[in-house]
Amino acid sequence: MLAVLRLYLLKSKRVPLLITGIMTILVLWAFTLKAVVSPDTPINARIDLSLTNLGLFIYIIATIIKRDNLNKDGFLLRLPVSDREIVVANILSMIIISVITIVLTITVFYLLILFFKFAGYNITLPTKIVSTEKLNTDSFSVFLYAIMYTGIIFSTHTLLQTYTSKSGAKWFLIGTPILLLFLVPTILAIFFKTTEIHITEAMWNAFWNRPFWHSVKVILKVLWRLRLILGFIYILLAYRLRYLKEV
Amino acid sequence: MKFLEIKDLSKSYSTKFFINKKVIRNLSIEFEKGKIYALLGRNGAGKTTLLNCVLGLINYQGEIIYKGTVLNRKTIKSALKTITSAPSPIEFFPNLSLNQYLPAYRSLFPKWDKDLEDRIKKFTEFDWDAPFNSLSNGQKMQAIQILTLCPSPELIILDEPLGVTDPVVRKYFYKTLIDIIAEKQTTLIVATHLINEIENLFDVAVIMKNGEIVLKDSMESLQKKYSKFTFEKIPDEKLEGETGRFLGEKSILSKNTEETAEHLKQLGIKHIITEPTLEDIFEIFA
Repeated sequence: MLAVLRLYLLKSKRVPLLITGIMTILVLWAFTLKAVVSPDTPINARIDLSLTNLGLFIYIIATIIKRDNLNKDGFLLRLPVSDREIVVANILSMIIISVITIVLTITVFYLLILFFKFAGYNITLPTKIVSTEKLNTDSFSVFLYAIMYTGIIFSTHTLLQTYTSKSGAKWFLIGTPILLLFLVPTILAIFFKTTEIHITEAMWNAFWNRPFWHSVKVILKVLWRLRLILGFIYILLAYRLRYLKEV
Repeated sequence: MKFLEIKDLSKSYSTKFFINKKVIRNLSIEFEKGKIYALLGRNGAGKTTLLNCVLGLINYQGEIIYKGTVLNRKTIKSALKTITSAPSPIEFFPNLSLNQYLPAYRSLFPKWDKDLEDRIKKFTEFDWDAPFNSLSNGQKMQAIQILTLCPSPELIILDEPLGVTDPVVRKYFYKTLIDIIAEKQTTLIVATHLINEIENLFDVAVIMKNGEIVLKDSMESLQKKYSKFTFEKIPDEKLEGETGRFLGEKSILSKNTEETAEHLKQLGIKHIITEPTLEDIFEIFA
């Protein structure tokens, strides 16, 4: 597994520099804008985890988007390594690269702020660049949910590719919600014989209070609460089906 | 114990929803240790699918037994320590160099042949620190050869290995292969369309057609069994012992030299009898 991990890390070695570079340019641009628009107000150099979350988020999206990430049909599958080792090495490499990216980005920001401060700019520098206050359950769970939803979209796309072509999967993914948008109102119109449908709260509650639909509601509620876990299980299963050795 | 045995192998691909195309049909074959097999067949005959089944890259129905062990999800990992195959250049991470791949390969294959690596290094003329995407197609193939041959495998599987390499590289590659096979008793299965190049290399020819094996024999035996008859004018009627006619030639392949010669004598047609080449056998059977 270490051999595969090493290859993954070598493959992605430029990612931290790339993301740090992009983030640095963005921050410098923000500093410049602030200096031009309101030169008298101090530059608030507080860089919290939401910024680093963003960096991590960009990286994860980039790795998920990249089709050859797990090397489907690639040379790795011809090596004496198991599927599990490939997946674990892949995930570990993503984590390591993400951590390096975050550390590098924060260090560069810190140096930038120091540079501006010593150059005489009016900068309010907090004691800590990374605010741990921001690492509360809300912001972190929002981040996790965002990754999960994005992961579901991309893993569904890759999963569909197993059964259809690349473009077929794309159109299936785009086409299904569009088709539903047409189909649902059409079916409702045919069923109710009118396009004016008034669903009152009482009707809605009466529907869900029927024994069968009440059970469905309970199940749906549980599933909705577990959506984060279920979402990641789905992503892993989709990856498992799509990417690895078939045997 | 048989070295590699394939029993009743079948593989289907779904072309459309609920429509399956059978690429390999109930195929059974044995491969012996230390022999070179030329796997031949026209495009779509099922050669690549068969090799991918052995490598565990695709699922299948039937059994593949390698050195007495049935290959499956659990056993394929240890089997692949002694089986190497040449991937297509596009399968590699393009930004890594050969020197970056080598440590990983060395650690995965404990019997890595450093002497062979050094020998090949002297022959190659490209920078081993250059990323894969900066190499020419021929250079990429050379790099892949190193990763395929140096692990000291017991079984090498090559699927169209040298399509884009220059003749010197091809000659060197095959010479290296012969040396390795002679020295280490390695088994080689090579699927290729460059039939002339392997004509003097292989021990057994295996010809596939529509997912089935239509012929498996040594070149010596094939040349004993079959004869090529060439005429000034090709007869219209089918000759005794005739196996097939060559496209654009006034020649036929015969499985019974005496019967065909006698029939031609009766018809009064002058002819020349020669030993068929592998390409001739391929043309008739594939």
